[in-house]
Amino acid sequence: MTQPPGVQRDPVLQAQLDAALIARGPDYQPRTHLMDGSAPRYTNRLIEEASPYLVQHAHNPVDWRPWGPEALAEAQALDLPIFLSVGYATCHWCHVMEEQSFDDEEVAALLNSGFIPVKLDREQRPDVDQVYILATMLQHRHAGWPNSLWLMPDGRPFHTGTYFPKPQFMQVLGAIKLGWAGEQREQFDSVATQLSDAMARIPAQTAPTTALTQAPAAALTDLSQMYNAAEGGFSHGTQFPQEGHLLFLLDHWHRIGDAAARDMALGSLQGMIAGGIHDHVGGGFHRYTVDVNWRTPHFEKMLYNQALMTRALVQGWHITNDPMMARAVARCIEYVLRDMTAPDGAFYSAEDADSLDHTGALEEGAFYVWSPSEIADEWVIATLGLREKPTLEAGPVAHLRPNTSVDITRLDPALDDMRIRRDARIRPLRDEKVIGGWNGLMIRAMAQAGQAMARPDWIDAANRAFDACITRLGPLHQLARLDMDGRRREDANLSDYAWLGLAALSLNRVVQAGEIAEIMLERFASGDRLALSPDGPLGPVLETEDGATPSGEGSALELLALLSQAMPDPKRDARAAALRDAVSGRIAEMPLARLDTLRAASMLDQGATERYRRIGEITLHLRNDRTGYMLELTIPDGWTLAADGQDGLVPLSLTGAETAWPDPVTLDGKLAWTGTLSMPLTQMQDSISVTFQPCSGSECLLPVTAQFRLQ
Amino acid sequence: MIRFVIALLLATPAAAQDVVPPEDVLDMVEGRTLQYAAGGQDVGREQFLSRSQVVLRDAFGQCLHGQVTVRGSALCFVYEGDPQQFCWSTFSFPDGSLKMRITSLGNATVLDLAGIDDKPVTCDPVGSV
Repeated sequence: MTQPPGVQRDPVLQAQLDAALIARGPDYQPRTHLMDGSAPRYTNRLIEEASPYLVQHAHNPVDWRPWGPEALAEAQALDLPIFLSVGYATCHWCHVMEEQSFDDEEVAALLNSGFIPVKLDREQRPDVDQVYILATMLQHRHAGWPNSLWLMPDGRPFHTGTYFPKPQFMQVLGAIKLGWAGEQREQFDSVATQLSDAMARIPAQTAPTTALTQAPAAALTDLSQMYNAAEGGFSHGTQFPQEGHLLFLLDHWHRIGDAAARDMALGSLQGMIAGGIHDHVGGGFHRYTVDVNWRTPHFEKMLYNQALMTRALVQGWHITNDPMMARAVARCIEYVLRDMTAPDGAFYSAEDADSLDHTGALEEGAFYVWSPSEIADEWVIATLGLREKPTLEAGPVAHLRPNTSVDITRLDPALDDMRIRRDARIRPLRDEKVIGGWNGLMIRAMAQAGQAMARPDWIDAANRAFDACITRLGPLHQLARLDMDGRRREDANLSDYAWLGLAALSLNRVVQAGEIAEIMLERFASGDRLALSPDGPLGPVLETEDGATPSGEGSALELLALLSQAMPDPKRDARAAALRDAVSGRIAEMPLARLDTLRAASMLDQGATERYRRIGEITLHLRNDRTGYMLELTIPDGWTLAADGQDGLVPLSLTGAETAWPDPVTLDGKLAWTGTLSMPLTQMQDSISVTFQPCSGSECLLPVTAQFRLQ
Repeated sequence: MIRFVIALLLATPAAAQDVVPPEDVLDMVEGRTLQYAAGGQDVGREQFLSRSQVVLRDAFGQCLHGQVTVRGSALCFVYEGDPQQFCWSTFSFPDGSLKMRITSLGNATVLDLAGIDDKPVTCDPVGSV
């Protein structure tokens, strides 16, 4: 193997890397244009990594190190600045910069001789990514990926940028190399100190504890102003699903019955179900669309989008009973189980956008688009809009027309046939990382969908995925963030714990969820707040917003809120209240930036709104299907609910609907309810309330009232 | 942070932040220069040469020319040499302050509009590196 340009590599390391390359097996395809015959000319330390994004760079002539303490220690030992490049697998301009610069021997020689080059997958360390994207933002007022940074050996950044064309990149590298060896070293250090101070100050900014009573209305006003009434969604350009917005709006509707909130959420879901963001052929959802009408996706499919869309669709279906929503849920879950599930049941992370087309060229969407000539049935072609002018060179994207009825019994067999034919095409790269937190999101969604739609097979799959994650990443008190082929990487962060905790709760593993919460509170405590990770490059990393996924802190608050209902614990509940208070001022300042956290705060204060709830030992489930509504209460062995006639106890009662009460049983001469009570509801009003007081053989708990909004 | 006492903000309801329509923002900034801050640190000055053209001076004193478009409730920017689009929504607060929420990033995305004046940005001929 050729030595990297500009550096002499230790023979022991070289032998280790050669062995790692051989261990990749005969099917491994190096990604580089620098080949000597059938073998890559260069191999660097990234060959030993788990992340496909990092492995993609394993044959660059740049002598990359993965992010970690070893790279920082090496920089300190050699007294060299670090060049840090942050990206992710499906980042287009990251790949452009790789082709132009990182896979170039001239650039590599300059980088290798004057810097410690470090590559970071932002999905592997979102906490580190957050820290350094802020650095770039502070220096340029705009930032993005690839994020390019020059760091002091201790990790403090002194120069930043994003994508650089090769000539400019060479110029900056040359200037910094010269400056480092000369008189600018002190200046770099001074800039690094100023920048690091600001970077530490911003996420830690506090605002006084504030009551959040006005925050939901303020958020609703903002969302109303941003809502696209014509197409759904909250943009008039590139459209992201914004599941956090939808879940907040649906929760808000449940709490106060605001029809505008409900209609924004449902309008967005209907737009997405019909649009090309929905993979009509294979099920599931792409990451975003480049057009406002949800027509032309960026074709990447992320596990977290499948999870969050499933949750939003299940809630939308509860409200509308719209079969298209139920169908979208089923097809999404079928997609995840068919195409995104490892043999042990854990879920993979993503599928790429690009794949090889019939000419062998890498093309975005090549796997997904259809020419009308490929389909014989003119009705199918018209229904899927395949003769409409495509936005993409690759071809038309299947989509439906929003709010137009479709003969699903005719369309679905045709789609099944198309999927089977599509499966014969070359698939996009599947990112087979198993990320604990992302699995937690999907497990929760699958379990909730299974409960809502009476699909025990989905609940079984969710349980299997949870067990597989703990086997791969556990034990709980030492969770890793990700695993790929037995390569565990990084400690789990706050999001991983919180999302897996919520997953455990959705599977009725309440004790396990409590254990996860305890570990989470101990490991990530930062005053009354919780840090995304305790060991970021400049100290604990605090999140400032909910993003494409809920913040770890918001999800932790949601877990604590749900646990306070399912398994109250005064100490833990006090931590939840303190966390809510600590972030309340920032939420109130700009609720739109922290909608998931605001929703969690409402849960803590007012209880959950979903149709399936665990309150103490009692499980409540409001089902609806074509035959009507059914309220189901599950009372575990050893517990009863008081019925009329018990002195001093509040009897089980229902308001807002009529029901045919099952007969109570007589225990110790008193009437009580036991087991599972299934109560069909009639004459429902807009919302119903159920009140009950659980008793065990030794104690009676305080009475509880749970409310469910129906309309 | 300076307080923007301008007509469009007087319509802001009390006790809540509010989205400022991008056309209103352009009315306010056209021909003028904004100063941005985060956590009390200056992060650049940007002169709105017109409703569609800007010049941004970053922390290194380098200038970038950019194009501005309105996308729904957001203003979106594309700068020379950077292929990526960068969008923000503007929010007004009851105290008259403005903040920008960057919509193209996941976290750490709220910047303060720290000042507005009529001084053109000046650019260093060569960056500080």
